[in-house]
Amino acid sequence: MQETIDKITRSFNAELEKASSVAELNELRVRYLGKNGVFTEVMKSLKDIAKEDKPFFGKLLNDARVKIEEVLQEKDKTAAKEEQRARLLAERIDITLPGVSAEAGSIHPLSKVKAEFAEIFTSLGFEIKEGPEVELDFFNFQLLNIPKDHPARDMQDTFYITDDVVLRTHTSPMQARVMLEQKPPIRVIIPGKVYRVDDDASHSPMFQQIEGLVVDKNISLCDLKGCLETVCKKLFSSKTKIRFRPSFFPFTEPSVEVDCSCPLCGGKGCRICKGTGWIEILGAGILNPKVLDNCGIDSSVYSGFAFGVGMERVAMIRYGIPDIRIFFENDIRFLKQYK
Amino acid sequence: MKAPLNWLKDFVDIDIAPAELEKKFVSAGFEIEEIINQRDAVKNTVAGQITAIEKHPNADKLFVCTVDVGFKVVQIVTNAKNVYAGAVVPVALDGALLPSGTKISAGELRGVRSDGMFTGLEELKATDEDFPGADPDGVLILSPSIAPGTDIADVLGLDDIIFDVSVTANRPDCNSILGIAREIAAVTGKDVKPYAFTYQSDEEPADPVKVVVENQILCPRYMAQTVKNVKIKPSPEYIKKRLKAVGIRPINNIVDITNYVLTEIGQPMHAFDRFNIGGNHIIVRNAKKDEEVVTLDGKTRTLEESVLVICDLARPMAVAGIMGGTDSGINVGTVEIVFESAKFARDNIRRSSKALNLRSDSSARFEKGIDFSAQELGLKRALQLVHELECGTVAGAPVDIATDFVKERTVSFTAAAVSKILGITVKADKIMEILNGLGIKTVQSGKLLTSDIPEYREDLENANDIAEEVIRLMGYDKIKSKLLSKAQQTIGGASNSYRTDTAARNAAAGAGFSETVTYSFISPKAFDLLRLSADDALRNAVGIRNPLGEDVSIMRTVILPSALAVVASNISKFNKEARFFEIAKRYSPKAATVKTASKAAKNTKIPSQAELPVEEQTLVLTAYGEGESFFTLKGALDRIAGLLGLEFSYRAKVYPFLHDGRSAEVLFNGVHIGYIGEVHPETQDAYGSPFRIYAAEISLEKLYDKALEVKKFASLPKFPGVARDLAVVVEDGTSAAELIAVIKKTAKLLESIGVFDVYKGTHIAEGFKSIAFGLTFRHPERTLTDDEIAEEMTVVLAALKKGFGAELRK
Repeated sequence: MQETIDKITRSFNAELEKASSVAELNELRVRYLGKNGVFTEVMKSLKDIAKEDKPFFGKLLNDARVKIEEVLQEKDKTAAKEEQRARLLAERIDITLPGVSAEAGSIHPLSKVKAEFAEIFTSLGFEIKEGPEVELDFFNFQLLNIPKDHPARDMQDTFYITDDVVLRTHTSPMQARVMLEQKPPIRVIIPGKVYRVDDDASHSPMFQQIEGLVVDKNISLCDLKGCLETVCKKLFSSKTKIRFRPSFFPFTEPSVEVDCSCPLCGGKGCRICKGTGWIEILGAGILNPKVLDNCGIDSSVYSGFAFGVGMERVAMIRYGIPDIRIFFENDIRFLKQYK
Repeated sequence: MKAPLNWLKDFVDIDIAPAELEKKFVSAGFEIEEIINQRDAVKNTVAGQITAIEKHPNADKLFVCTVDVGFKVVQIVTNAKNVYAGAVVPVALDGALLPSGTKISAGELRGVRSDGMFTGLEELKATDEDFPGADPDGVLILSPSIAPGTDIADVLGLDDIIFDVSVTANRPDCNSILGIAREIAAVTGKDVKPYAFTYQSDEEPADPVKVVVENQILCPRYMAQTVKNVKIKPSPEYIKKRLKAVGIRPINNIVDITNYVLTEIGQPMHAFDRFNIGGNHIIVRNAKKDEEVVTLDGKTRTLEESVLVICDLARPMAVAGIMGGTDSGINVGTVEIVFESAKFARDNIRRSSKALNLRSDSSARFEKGIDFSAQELGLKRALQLVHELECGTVAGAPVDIATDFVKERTVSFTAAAVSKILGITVKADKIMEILNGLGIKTVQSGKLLTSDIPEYREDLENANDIAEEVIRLMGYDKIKSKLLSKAQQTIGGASNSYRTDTAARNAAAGAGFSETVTYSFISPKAFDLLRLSADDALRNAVGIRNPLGEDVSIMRTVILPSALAVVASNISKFNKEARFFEIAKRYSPKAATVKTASKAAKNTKIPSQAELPVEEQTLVLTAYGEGESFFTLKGALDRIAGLLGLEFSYRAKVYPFLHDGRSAEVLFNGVHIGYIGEVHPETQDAYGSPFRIYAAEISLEKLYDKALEVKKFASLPKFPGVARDLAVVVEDGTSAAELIAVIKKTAKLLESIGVFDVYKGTHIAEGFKSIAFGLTFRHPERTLTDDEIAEEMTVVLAALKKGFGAELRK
């Protein structure tokens, strides 16, 4: 018996030496350890052995079997690893080839800038409102302290639909609409398209503005500056500063033009800011008490500020776009730059 | 407003450099468009005296002159025939710049050196009026009293510095030299020098002119003054020089005086020849219908009744405030005049000027607004000039017909109110100092400050106006940044419409479309390119009364024309494929629901908004190029719908601008929201596209209620579903949707169904197609048996057979 076991072990070892693939090893396992395998056969011969010797040879046979199993398992692992390595190597691809996917489209730079403003302002507690583009003269001008045939109308060359209906020349008419409908505290921004009879390298007959309106008790020029400075810092960089210059708008008093430190050169002076270090970005002011009163808000109790910023101007600064007309040419090669 | 420095100095001492003054101007609220140094117009050009002339050795028509230019002697070759030894002439030396813009350098002419060039009137941009009797074709011969070496700028009187100041609409008083001077005085801490009027009035004329103002609303003040013994002649040099500096052509002393006063004080004036005033009456009235007047520009103007005119007993002599007539004006023979100094209502001037398409310096001033004090001041200044120029005698006192006007107006406020507006504390003393410096006399009584508002500051009405005066002179750098420190907290956030638009935008970009922005106005011809019938509702558009051109003259009722124009322009730039989208409004001139703002102030009447069109937010998609089809676009639209949390359905429908067999309406919850399809080949051609174009346009407005809804959780199935495929052969015209509808109705255990293949060709008879569905069956409470599924499939097939003659594909 001992001899038989030694013989089996020797022949197994010889065959194991030759087997290298997972398949060959499996075949070997079946032949030695399988249901009809070598060990099963030998096991059957145990019945011919004397009863007292059975435990001894039984253990001997089992030990040999366990040993073979271990060796097989060991070699199996190695073989599997080797095979996987070979497969992965064979499956190697050129990862520099293009991906298989539908190409993404893009969002217009004007919409991108609008979305940035919307995010900044909503985080400051502002509501977003929108209003009609074809607007009554009454809202666009009269409630805003610009009567008919007033010289201030020269500032905004207007497209007329009828004597009383215009294409809004600014987003400010929504100021009036909001104040007529809502009680203070009011904090809204109003993005939208506006129209003026104008067409050259820096003016488009249609452009987009965001209007801002805050009405509450104790609103001052300092609040206006703080609010706009926060927005410019978030929009450009934390180092951005702003400055006020006196100006005139019929619906605000005092009125200011607002410059921010040039985001390109940081205020040192460059081509974009024409060497001044400052870029004019918007007009603003303290709400004229006449406008508050026109809109049914008691100007002896409440005050407020308003501002209007041109999206094209901000986008031109933000992206370094030299000519306003590029926005409306809609060349796919331009648009795809804004994926 | 052009303000020459030397003129400003008549009213205020200026001892700072122009650049410094500009800074102060800007910080006080006046943009400087340009600082023009007149001397910059001419360089290196001096007066020179010709000492000798010789014939050119190599050219018959040329002369070689020896010229003393003061600091040296130069040699100039010239072809001018009017030069002679001893003549003083302008010499442009090497490197010279002339007012005409010409640059001169030394050179050789036919082998003889020339150190520069003599110049004539043209190169100096001078006229016969500047140098009477000058030969227009020859060299300009200057007065022999001019010393050689004198800078020609001085000879031409180009020695001023002109500030071109941009004046905002709230400060009409600054459209004058005096107004600008007052601002300079305020920002530099100087006083304004007052006028000294020294003219004397002679006795009243025997038959004084009578003035009748019939419409005092349009003419609140009319002053008239007769001047006798008028001698019409050219104005003295300093008047001419100043007028030219501000761009006004000198005419004669009287006309120049009116223009001088207009510029200096801002009060437009007019001078009538007294003997041309018929009936010795000046009547200010509205024009009669179709009344005519020939204005100074020589044109006959037919007038509307709304236009105010200055008439004599017979006819209009002038369009009030806009332009005088030729018949009643000043001419060389004029010996008696009547000066007019009036205030006309600015809105009427503006309307009349527009209606007549006639603008003048005068109308421009009136439109901006002129205060009640300027008529008297202007008239006095004109009479003082008559006196100084010795060109007439003031005859008696002026006629002055005026409505009652508030001569003294005050504004009261507290320092605390001003500080509250500004957000910084400004003491009463500081406020008074600033206002008094501006000529606004302000006194304190307890906490109350009271300002006497000068008549020329009609813009100052309340504490906000005062706060602006204070801060613009203190400097806006005094304003500190505070982030709404005293304001109440608000919640903020975006409306559902804004959020839906944003989600649609992101979804469309995610689906491979690039966003465009196009003008809201289009050409009415676009409707023809879309093949719309004459009575198509889309043709009913909102028109712009004053468009930039016909191609941008109506508000679009459909976005497609703009989208197709984008495709066309990209094709012309050799972009072979692209996908575009735009989110924009379309406008239909239907009466909108009237929104009444009931909380309006009691005295504010909100007009009806029924006139406003309906504005509908719309999403338009276009695609062209390789691989694009109806189905790629439909897939994209479904994907966008999915990202909005919605599902669209489609129904075949014919549109004039779409391919008859490849077009559909898009529905949401059974409601029409737009169209999708392949663009009609004729429309495609009309836009010059060699490629097929696919387009869809849907209303976002109709999705706002349902888009981005919060979805309720649905529990996941506990039992497995069973998938089966079903391929049937049907007539080609049968739509998948019809088949699916029947399957859904028949199969009780069906969970979902989709089309995975459509086949025509071998083994399928002509006129038929095979369509293959993937079906999933599921029972919520147990696992289905094979028998149950087989039963379902049998029922489905039977129904398809009955409804469509469908056969199971073999």
